[in-house]
Amino acid sequence: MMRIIAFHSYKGGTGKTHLSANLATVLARKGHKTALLDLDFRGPNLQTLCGVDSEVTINDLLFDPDLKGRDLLVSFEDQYKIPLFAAFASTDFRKMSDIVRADKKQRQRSLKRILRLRDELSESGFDYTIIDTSPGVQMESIDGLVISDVTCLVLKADDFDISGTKSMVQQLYSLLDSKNYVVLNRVVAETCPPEHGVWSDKDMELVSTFEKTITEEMRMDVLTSIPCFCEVAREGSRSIFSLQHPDHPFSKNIEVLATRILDGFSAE
Amino acid sequence: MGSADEEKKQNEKKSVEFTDLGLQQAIPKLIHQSLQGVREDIQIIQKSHKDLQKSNEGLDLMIRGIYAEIQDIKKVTKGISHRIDRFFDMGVIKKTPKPHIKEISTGLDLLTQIPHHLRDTFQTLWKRDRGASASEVSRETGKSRSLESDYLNQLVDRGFVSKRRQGKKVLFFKIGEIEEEEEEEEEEDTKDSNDNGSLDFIVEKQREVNNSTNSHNKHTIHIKSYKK
Repeated sequence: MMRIIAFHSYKGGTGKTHLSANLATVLARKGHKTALLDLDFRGPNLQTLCGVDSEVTINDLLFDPDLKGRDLLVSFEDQYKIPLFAAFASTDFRKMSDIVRADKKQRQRSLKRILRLRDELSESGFDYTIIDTSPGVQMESIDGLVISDVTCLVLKADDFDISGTKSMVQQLYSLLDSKNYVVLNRVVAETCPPEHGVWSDKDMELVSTFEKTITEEMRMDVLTSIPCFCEVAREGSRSIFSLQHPDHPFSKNIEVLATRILDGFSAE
Repeated sequence: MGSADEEKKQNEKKSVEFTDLGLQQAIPKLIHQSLQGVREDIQIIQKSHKDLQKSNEGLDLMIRGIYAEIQDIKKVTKGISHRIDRFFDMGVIKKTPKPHIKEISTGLDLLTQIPHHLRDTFQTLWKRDRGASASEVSRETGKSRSLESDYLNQLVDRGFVSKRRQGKKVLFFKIGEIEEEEEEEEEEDTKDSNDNGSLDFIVEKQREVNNSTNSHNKHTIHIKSYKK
C-alpha cells in the first residue's frame, strides 16, 4: 500500500523542496520505490534541484485528460541506482499562470487528475510518494494535503510567524485526515553546526525546550530538529545534498526523519 | 479688299489728326481710348463674378439642404433603433443565434482579422482537417518549429485556434474543431464553496478523496530514464 507524505509550510523559503527531495532520496536508498511530486506550482524549484529540464509536467497533467503519469515521471534509477522517480511542476510562466487563473471546474478536474495519478502510482508498485506543496493555503497545496497520509509542517527555526502558522494549523490541519507533524529546519543552538551532527547535552536541552514550546503552541508533535549546516547552505539548490553526500550529518538527520515517519506507519 | 483699303485710309486719317493735334493733346486722347477698353473688360469680369456668386449661393443652399436631410434621417433611424431594442426587451422579436463560425467561414473572412505575420501559419492550419503540430506547420511554411509554435500560441491567445495535448504531442486545431471537453468526471459545479470564504471546500475535498475508489482506468507506469 502506497503512503503519501506532504511537506507544507505557512511561509515560503522554509526548505520544503530541499527536505522532500532529500527524504525521497533516503527512502529510495533504503530500497523503497519512491516518487517525488512537485505540486509547488507557484514557485517550482525541483527541476533545478534535480538538474532536469522536463518537457511534460504535472501542470500539463492537470489540464490534459489524455496525459498519464507515465508521460511525466522521470526515472533516476539508471543514474543513481536507486528506485527514485520524480514528476515536476512547470517553470513556464504561461503554464504557471494557467494554474493561478484556474476556475472552479478546473480545480475540481485538477484534484481528480491528481487522484488518478495517485492511483496510477499505487498500481505501479510505488511504496512512497513525497509531495512538495506551495506554502500557505493555495488551492494546489490543499490538493496535495488532502491526499496525504502524513503532513510535515516545516518551520524554519530562526524565522517563522508563530501566530500565522498557528492560525493555519488550527483552521486547515484540523480538517485534514492526515497525521500532522512539525519538522524544525535550520535549527541553531549554541554550537552551530553541532559537532559530527550530534547536539551537545547543553544544546540538546535547548533544542528540546524549543521543541516542547512548538508542540504546545501548535498541538503537533515535532518529528525532528534538523541543524543548520553551512555545507548544505553552500550547496544551495544545485543538487540533492544526501545523494552527493550520503554520510554527511545532514543526510543522517534526514535518515532519522525517514525512520520516524516509517515507524509512525508501522505503529498504525 | 475694299474694306481693308478703307481701314488703311482711316488709320492714315487718324495719324494725320494726331499729327495735326500735336503730341500734348494726342496722348491723353490715346489713353482715354485705351481705358475705355479696360473699363469694358472690368464690367464683363464684374458681371461674371456676380453670376458665379449667384451659382455658389445655390450650391451652398443645396449642401445645407442635404445636411438637414441627413440629420432628419439620423433622427428617424435612432428612433427606429430604440423601438427595435424595446421590442427585443419585451420579447416581441427574438434574436437569432449567431451562426457557428465553421458553418459560414471559408477562412478568408477571418484572415482579415489576423495580424499579417500570423496569416501563413493560420492558412496552413486551416487547410488541415485533423489539426497539426508546430513541427508539421513549420515543415509547410519553411519557418522554424519554435517560431511556428510561438505563432500558433499567439493564435490560440487571440482565439483563432485551439490546442490540445495528445500524449506528448501538442496539436493545434481550427476553431470549433474540438468539441467542448465533456468528461464524465465533470459532474457537479456546486461543490466548491470556497468563494464565500468558508473552509467547507476543504472538507468536501477531503470527503471526495476518501470516497474516491480506484475506479479509474489503471495504467501500469513505464517510466523514461533520465540521463544527464
